Amino acid sequence: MRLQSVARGRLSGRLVFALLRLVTGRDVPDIIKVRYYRPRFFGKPFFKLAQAVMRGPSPWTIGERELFAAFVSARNSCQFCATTHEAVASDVLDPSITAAVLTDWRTAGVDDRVRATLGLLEKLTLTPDEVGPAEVRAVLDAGVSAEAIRDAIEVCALFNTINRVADGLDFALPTTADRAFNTRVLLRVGYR
Amino acid sequence: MRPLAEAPATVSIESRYPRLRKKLRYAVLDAPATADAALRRAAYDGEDLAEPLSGYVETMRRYAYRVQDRDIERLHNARYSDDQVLEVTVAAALGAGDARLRVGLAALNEALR
Repeated sequence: MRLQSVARGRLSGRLVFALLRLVTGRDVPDIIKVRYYRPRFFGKPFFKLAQAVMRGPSPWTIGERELFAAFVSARNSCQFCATTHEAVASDVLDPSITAAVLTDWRTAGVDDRVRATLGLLEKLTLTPDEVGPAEVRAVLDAGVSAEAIRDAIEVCALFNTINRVADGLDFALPTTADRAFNTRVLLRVGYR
Repeated sequence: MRPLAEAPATVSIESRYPRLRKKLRYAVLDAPATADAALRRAAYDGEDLAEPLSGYVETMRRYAYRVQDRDIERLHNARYSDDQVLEVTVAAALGAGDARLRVGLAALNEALR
């Protein structure tokens, strides 16, 4: 974490962190420090949106949305988010498929709907200026509904934001044990 | 009842959570904070910034994984506080995310016409 004020937290945040350390026996992840630092500025409204996008009603399963989150994060070279959400996706989907998607989505063993959507999300993440109706039509032609495309774009936008916050502020990478713990929290509690 | 002639030819697909997104944008860009709203808006839009902010925001928007400790040190040396750096960082990040939402939804709506 590059900002000492955020790492240290304000008084209310320090109390929350102390409680979290006591309950979990672990260091508080940097994402949680940002969540509780002046929460009305960013953490509270952002995580409310994240909970809705990642856990609210959608044609995509939670596992598929977590796969999109991991994929977008990997394309942005955001290790913190990519490893975190790969672990969550792998917990609910076939882990070999999650890994294959992150290595090469074109050859990964996913259905055509997911593959076409990944192609759109890659372009939207890396070269948004090149995205037009033709790119979306290709996804519609693969059998993805307009509502599902909209929801995938929502995930893409959400992670294009948090990836930059994580890398700009240099979030510490979780250990393997931390990742397993974070996965349980994200699947049981969500983004609240 | 609305006259038929005024009805839109197609239903436009918007963000699923427009109110939540509006609240987030207001909190990050418009609500009182330590950095001026104009500065946060410029970071969000990625324009009209002087160095060292312009270089930092450009890196954030294009490839945030390349941000280095020295980039933040330059901002601190230019007398930007931790809170101001956080606000600019979040505004730039939100701008990059929202740009993709706009492009994606515009392409989707055009494809459905």
